[in-house]
Amino acid sequence: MRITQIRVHNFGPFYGGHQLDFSSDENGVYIVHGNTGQGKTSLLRAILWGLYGKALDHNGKEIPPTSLLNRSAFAKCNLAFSVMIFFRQEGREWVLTRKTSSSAHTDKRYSSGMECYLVKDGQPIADTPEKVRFEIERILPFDVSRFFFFDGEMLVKYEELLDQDSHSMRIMRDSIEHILGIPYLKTARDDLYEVKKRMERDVAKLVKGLGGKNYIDLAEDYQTLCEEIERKRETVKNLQQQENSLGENIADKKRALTRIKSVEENALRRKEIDGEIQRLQLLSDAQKTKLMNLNSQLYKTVLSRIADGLITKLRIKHDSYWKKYLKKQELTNRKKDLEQGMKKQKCELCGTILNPTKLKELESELAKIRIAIEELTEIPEPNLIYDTSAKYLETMKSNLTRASEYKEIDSITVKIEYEIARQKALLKQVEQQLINVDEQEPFRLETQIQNGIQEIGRLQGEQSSLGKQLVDDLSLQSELDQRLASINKEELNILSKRIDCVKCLLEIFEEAIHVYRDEKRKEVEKEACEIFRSLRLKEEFSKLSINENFGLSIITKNGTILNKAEWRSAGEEQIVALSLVGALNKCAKTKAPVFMDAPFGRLDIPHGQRILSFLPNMAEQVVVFVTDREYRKEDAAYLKDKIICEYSLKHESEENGSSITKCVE
Amino acid sequence: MNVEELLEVLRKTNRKKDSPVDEEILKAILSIVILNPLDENRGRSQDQIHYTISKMKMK
Repeated sequence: MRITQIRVHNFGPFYGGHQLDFSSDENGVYIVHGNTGQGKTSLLRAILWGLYGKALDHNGKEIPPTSLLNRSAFAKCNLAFSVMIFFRQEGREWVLTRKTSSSAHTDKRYSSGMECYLVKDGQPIADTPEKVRFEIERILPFDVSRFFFFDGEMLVKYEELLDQDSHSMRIMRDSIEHILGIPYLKTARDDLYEVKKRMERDVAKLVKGLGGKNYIDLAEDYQTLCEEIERKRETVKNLQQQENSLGENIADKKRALTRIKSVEENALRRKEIDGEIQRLQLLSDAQKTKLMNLNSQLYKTVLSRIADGLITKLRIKHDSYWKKYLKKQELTNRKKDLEQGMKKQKCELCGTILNPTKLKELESELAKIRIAIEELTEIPEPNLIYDTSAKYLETMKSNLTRASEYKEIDSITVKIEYEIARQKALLKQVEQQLINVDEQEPFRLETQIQNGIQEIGRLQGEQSSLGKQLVDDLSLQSELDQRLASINKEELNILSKRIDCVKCLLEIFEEAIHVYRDEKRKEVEKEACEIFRSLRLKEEFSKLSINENFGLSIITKNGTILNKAEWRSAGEEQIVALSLVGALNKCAKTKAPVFMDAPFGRLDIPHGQRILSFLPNMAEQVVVFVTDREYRKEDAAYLKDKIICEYSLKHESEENGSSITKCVE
Repeated sequence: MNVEELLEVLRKTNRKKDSPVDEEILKAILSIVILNPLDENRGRSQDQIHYTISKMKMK
């Protein structure tokens, strides 16, 4: 299958008619650029809706038709939308048209108003949704479309193939088996089984028709036995279904329990984080106190520039005052001596009687000393204030706040604040997970799991018992077959031979299913390994290994098997999934184009580049929907000359919706 | 749809049997199933298989 054109009308963000051409006969890659919300995913949905009449959201839920209609069209009461897909298949030109219109904006009306046409080489071959479905399912079954039209972000879901119990794993595995052609063998086996039942009924009818008590009894025994075998088979089948469904139920409950246990762990974690935040807060407060102390001393740094001058001035003043003080002391002592000498009229030192001339000289000296003392009256008693101030300033200078201290505190504070913010974010996450937690739920789940396990045991026991009964019944049927074969009636003999033939065919198809599945698994593993080696960057990743469900595990060079999602990054998961999709496309019975949305969303640039180089090998026709973040102009080099055409999606306005334009070089 | 690969597995399995069936019947059954892939086609498919086996010459 090769898509040559897609036309959409009033679909999703596309108001009116828009089209994308993929008409080149060359093999290569088409790139559709468009940032978030421009219509990339809607185009992918339009293709799936066009082909199968249903568009799915990211959770695999069907999007109702009312949500597919363009909003502007709805506002203008134009309640109709359509998709046309032009494609080439086995050398023929096909046109698929799917449109729906309604007089009222309800899902029911749109569904009932759906029209569908399929035209092959200009000749209409199907004109109802049912007939179209029949044809399209033969060309590209819906189950396998997930390997051709997919969202790169959703590729991580393939990790579920590693889960033995998951329901979605079974759906995925069945899809993989479908793309590889295994269901054809399974369907043939089931149809043959139904044919055998029909023939056995014919045998019973024929024997009954022979008349006679013996024949009638034989026929009735045979028919009863066949019906009994059939009933038991059906019961075993139902028991198996019950067991499977119970197994899935238990698996879901185990997962829920794991989630709840992680919630319990989260409660402890919350306590730890709370404690850590408090500890950090104390550290932060201590740093803030340090900072405040430093700030309170900051004026000293400002004063330090003028402190040297002040100290010098204070020293000079102190020295000057000290000298004057000593002088005053000296003069005061002299004054005291002179006054005593003059009072006794003799020298205090040598005792000589002073004559009037001498007394006059002394009086004159005393008068001068008194004046000098008077001049020094502003000098206080021993005054150390200037000395003390100078010393204080000198001490202050030696204790100045240093910038390095600020830097150190600042650095510590930033680290603490960052850690507090980180812990608070963690706390928020943990608290989110703790909302609406029922404390009794783990106990209830554990009880339900235990009950489920016991019920599975009972079902297995019942199956085993029925299995033994079936073996006995089949042995009895074989005896009856022999008795029937001994009846010498040609028609009956032929019928018995036909039943033998069908039994033989049943065995062949049953064995072929296992052989073919094993062969295909090995083939897929080999192809996936080759692709993985070309995509992976980590040299320690050696190869991939496939399990029973087609799940792929990474094998390291040391032989370690990385088969759990938590051991691999989302990007690695996407690479493994792409390897699987690439391998399935190579091994598939069905050939179709690959349409991939957001293929590099989870990948770093080097891995994105490797996948770009690989894209042209995925299918003859590859269409990738990319944002400008995923694909840059220079990335074209990795696709070499394999780009056929580039388109750009742009959301014009709410009224006009999105448009598609061809990029011109 | 290329049935050759599926058919080859059936042929190989058939050849290992003590009394193998006519290979043409394998091809015929597979073709019927491929042409009737849907659940609602089962009745028609079984009719055709029944008819095909009924037309076979039994040894």
